[in-house]
Parts: sequence; C-alpha cells; structure tokens
Amino acid sequence: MSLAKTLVIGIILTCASFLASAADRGRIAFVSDRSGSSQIYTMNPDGTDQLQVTDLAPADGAVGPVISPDGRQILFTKFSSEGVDLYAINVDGTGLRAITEDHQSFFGHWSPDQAKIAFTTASSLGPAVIAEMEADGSGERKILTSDLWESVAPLYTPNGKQIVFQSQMGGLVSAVWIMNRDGSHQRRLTAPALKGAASAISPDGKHILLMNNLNSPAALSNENFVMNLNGTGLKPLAPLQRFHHDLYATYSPDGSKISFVSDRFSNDITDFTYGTFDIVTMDANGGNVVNVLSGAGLCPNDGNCVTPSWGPSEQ
Amino acid sequence: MRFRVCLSYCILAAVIALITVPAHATFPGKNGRIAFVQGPDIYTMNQDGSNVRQLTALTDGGAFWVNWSPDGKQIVFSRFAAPDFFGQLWLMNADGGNQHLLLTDPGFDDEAASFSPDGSHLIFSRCAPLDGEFPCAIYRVGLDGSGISQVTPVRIELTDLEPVYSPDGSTIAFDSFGRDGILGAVHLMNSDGTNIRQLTLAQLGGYGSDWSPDGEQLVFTTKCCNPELANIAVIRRDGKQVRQVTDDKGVFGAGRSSWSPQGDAIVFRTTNVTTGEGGIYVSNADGSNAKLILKVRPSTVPNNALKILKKSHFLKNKHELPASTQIEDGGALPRWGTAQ
Repeated sequence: MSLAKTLVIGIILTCASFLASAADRGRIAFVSDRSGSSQIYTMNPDGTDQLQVTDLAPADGAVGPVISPDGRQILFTKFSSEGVDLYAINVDGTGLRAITEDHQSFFGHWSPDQAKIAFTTASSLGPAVIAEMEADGSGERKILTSDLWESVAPLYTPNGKQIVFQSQMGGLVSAVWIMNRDGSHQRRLTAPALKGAASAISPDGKHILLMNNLNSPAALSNENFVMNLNGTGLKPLAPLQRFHHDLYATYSPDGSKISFVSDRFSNDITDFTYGTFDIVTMDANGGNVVNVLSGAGLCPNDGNCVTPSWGPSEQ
Repeated sequence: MRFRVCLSYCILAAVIALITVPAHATFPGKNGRIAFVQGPDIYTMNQDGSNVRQLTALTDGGAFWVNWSPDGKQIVFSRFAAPDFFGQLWLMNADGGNQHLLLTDPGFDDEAASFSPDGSHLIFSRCAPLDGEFPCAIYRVGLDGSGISQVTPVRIELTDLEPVYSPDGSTIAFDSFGRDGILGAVHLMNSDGTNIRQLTLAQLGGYGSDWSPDGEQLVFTTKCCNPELANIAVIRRDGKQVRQVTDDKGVFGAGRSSWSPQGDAIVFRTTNVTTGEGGIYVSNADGSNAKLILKVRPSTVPNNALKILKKSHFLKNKHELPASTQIEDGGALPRWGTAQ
C-alpha cells in the first residue's frame, strides 16, 4: 500500500472516528412504569433506540438508575416487599446482581473511578445516613453523616474529593449539603425555605443541579435550579409560569445538555396533583427545552419520579 | 398505574422522630389540681399525685388534649370517636360534670384547644383533609360554639398546632411544622394572627410550649439530637437564654410539660425508653428536685391527633416507633390548673 493511500485511509478513519464520537451523545437511563411495574430503560438522548434493561418481578420495581462512569453498568435501587437494596446490572440487561442485601440501602452513586459507591442506608437509631462501600458491596461500610438527622442521596464531585447530599440536619425539611469524602467539613449550601435537594453535579465540577420543595405536598410546584458548588449563584433552570413539577435534572456527559423530568406538558395535571411525567432535554445554558419521551411515567406523592441518568455510551 | 414507591426522605424517614405535642396555657393563680390523660379518659389529681379522680368514662373512642379555664372551673378537651376519629371540642366542669359538645363541624378535625386569658373564648387547631394532605391552622371560637374565626391561613404544607395565649392575651405561641422549610419549631404571633415569628431554633425541634404565669418565659419540649429522646427546656419570650431543665440521661423521652400557676414548679411527663416505664413528674422551675408523682400506663385508643403529628413529621411509612412515642400515645399531657 502506498504511503498516499495509507494516509487517505488514515484520514478517512480519523474522520469517521471523529464523526462517530460527535454522534455519541451518550445514553439516558430512566425508569418507566409503562409495563405495569417500574423497570429501567435506556435510550438515545433524542428518545430513539429504547431498550428495556431490567425485567424485575411485577411486584418489585426499580428507581434511581445511575449509569457507571464507563457506561457499562447501571446502579439502581430495587424495592420489594422485603425493603430496598442497591443492585447493579449491565447496560445490555445481563449480569443483574445485588450490591446490598440488608433491605435498607438505597440511592447510590458511583465514585468517579468506579471503585466505590456512596449510598443511603438506615442507621441503628433510625434516620438514614450517607455511607461509602466498595463498588461490589464487600468490606466495611464507612458511615459519613450523623445518625440523628436524615441524610440521603449522595453525589460524588467529579474529582472524587467531595460528596454533595440532601439532609434534614439542623431541623430542616430538606437542604443541599456538601462534605469532604471522609465526612469532614460538612456545610449547608441552600437556605431552609428552598427545601432543596441536589440531583447532579456538572462534569467540570463547578455547578450543582437541584430542585426545590422536597418533602412537600404535590400542591407545591417543583422547579430545577443551578448553583455554584459553594452554594452561590442560585438561579432557576427552566422557569415556567404555570403550576408544574420539574425534577431530577442531570447533565449530559460533556456537560453541554441537561435532562430532567417534568409534568409541564401533561394535560392531566391539576393544581394539586402530579401529572404524567415526560423526559425533557435542554441546553445547559438554558432554553431549547425538548420533550424527548412523552409519558415516561407518573410520579408518586413523595416526589419520586422517573429519575433520568445521562451517562456515556458503553465504551 | 402510579409508582407507589416511597423512597428518598421517606423510605427510612419512617423511623425519624415522632414528636408528640401538648397545648396549654398556665394562667396565674394558686397551684391547684393537675389534669392528665390516661387511656381513653381524663383525670385530675393533687399536685403530689394523691386523690386521683376520673372525670370521663368514655366507651366510644377517647379523649386527648386537656386544658383548664383560667378560673379553674372548666376543662376543654378533644374527643375522638369512630368512624373517622376526627377531634371534636368538648367542655366539662372541673369535677367532670356537664360534659357537652362545644363544636361539631363534620369534616373538620378540631384539636388542642386552650382558653383565652379572660376565659371568653378558645383557640384551637383545625385540621381537614385537602388533596391528600392534612393541613392544620389556628382558629378561635366562643365558649358557646359561636363566632368561629380563622387566625392563621390554611396552607397545604403546614401543620399549626397547640395555640396558647400569653397570660396578657397579646401573643399566641404555637407549634408550626413545615413553616419556612423548618421541620418544627415553637412560633409566636400577635393575637390577631399577624407578625408570625419563629421562637425556638430549628435544630431544637421545639414543640408543646406553655407560658410561665408571668408571661416572661415559655417551657417547651425539645426533640433535639436523638430521635428517641426528648428534654424539657425553658426559653425567654424574646428567644434568648434557652436552658434545658431535664436531662435525658440517654434513656428518657420527655413528653408534655406545664407550668404551675404560681410559677414555682413544672409538671412534665417522661418515659424511660429502655424500660417503657413512664410517669408524671413535678420539679422546681429550674428542673431541680424532680419527683415522680404518678406512674401512667400507655393507651391504644385511636387518636387522630397522632396521625396529624406523624404527618407533620414526614412519617409517611408506618414503622416501629420509639418507645417514648408508644407511651406518649397514651397521653398523660399533664396540665396544672388552679382548681383546688
């Protein structure tokens, strides 16, 4: 093969690779009750190529899927009559396995190196606490928050040095907190009246996506907000004048887009109820709100919706 | 089909503290008898625990939330009966005579009434189902059941409970759950419902306040720091100088408290959460010299007040409750009056 030919093929291959990479916008994992029970699905960010990942027994269900940093696995909370446990499954639906078996662990998050999982579990006193364990559930659990107040839903910062979480510490209905990964230096980032809870951290580690009115009746709207990692610069993400619920915003792997769930397009919503939830995408800098999946599911009274996770495609 | 999952904040929030709450205003006077609830019924006793008298003998449902009139001649309470166990306001004489229904509005659950300092009317907490929630707001009503009016607005996310007038009638203390993003705190407002302000810090988890007879201080229960335990504390009406007057010693869950009419003592309920044994104690106003004056047994009488309290503390799932709560379900709610 001549050098010229090799170069041409090389350029073509490079271009093809570049194009493929540009087309790879990742996958969105979500929960839908379309089958009659809560199962995990994945789809392209434009709503195409939907795949059902879990096939849990109809009496059981899944919530809170999180795609692993390498795009190959999904961590989720499985609920059953026995309680709640963390499970992992390969994105192709194979390899379902229990990470916890205590029936009281839920809402986990992969560490950036995928070696650990931060999660929520019941303390002996009662209130849920944030803990960290090996990604396969083995070894000792390290408890990171006080067992006197409820703390849930940890999120690692992209550099793995801090954990953002939701807590009732100090007697609040809900607030966003941040701490070092070892549990030290805990501080509150949001004002009590916001009743905030974080749902994602930007890939560059600079911003937190959060929602308001947690632990509140459906008769209060929910909105998504963005703020700096230190709690400053709070601003609404996609404001809407009428009554609605926007929840669980999450970033695309490159941070340029945001996905969240919303009943803003629902025609069965009233001023006192959740409507049907759709999965929506938008630009991270605001605007261009697109409904990519209508009727993903409904939302229960406690605000647990279809919880999207936007991760990389399988590597 | 809806997801009927209860996760986040609530799946295991089921086990967060359940706070049980009193309502009372102690008016100045000579220390008299103490009213309390045991099982389904209301009793009174001398301040040393002697001469216990049963005032009600309810066969249908039970009674809760007792409070004395300023002159010690009457007692107001809530009665709960099947099928909905919504509270109804009842009045009776100090000896249990002349028990009569004060107010019945089907569909409303009336709780935790207490008297105005001039004895002319009551303030109470009215709760009602609203789109899957059960908000409670403060109302007032005449002693003949007339002239009902609203003091705090109904908001779906709020539970306002246990209003108590200051002895001078200018101010109302009450518990508010969910207000301004705070799980629960004692609040104050002007008697016309204006100028609502938080009195106790959020982290104290304060509830169940009672004014000292001179109106300068309030005694309240604080659920700070341990879901199973609770202490009695005293705070100045300006919110300064909180001092704890009981020591949970790692085992005691304090319940309701009430100031003596002379201002020299406090009566409170506490329970050893490890043994389940509980009783009514009297101590000096600073908490010293606490003495058990009566052991009280728990009750299993259905009580809508407890449902409201569970709701107000985001206990969305039934779970095992702390021992102190199980005992508190039975009441006690000691109230110190001037009746001799």
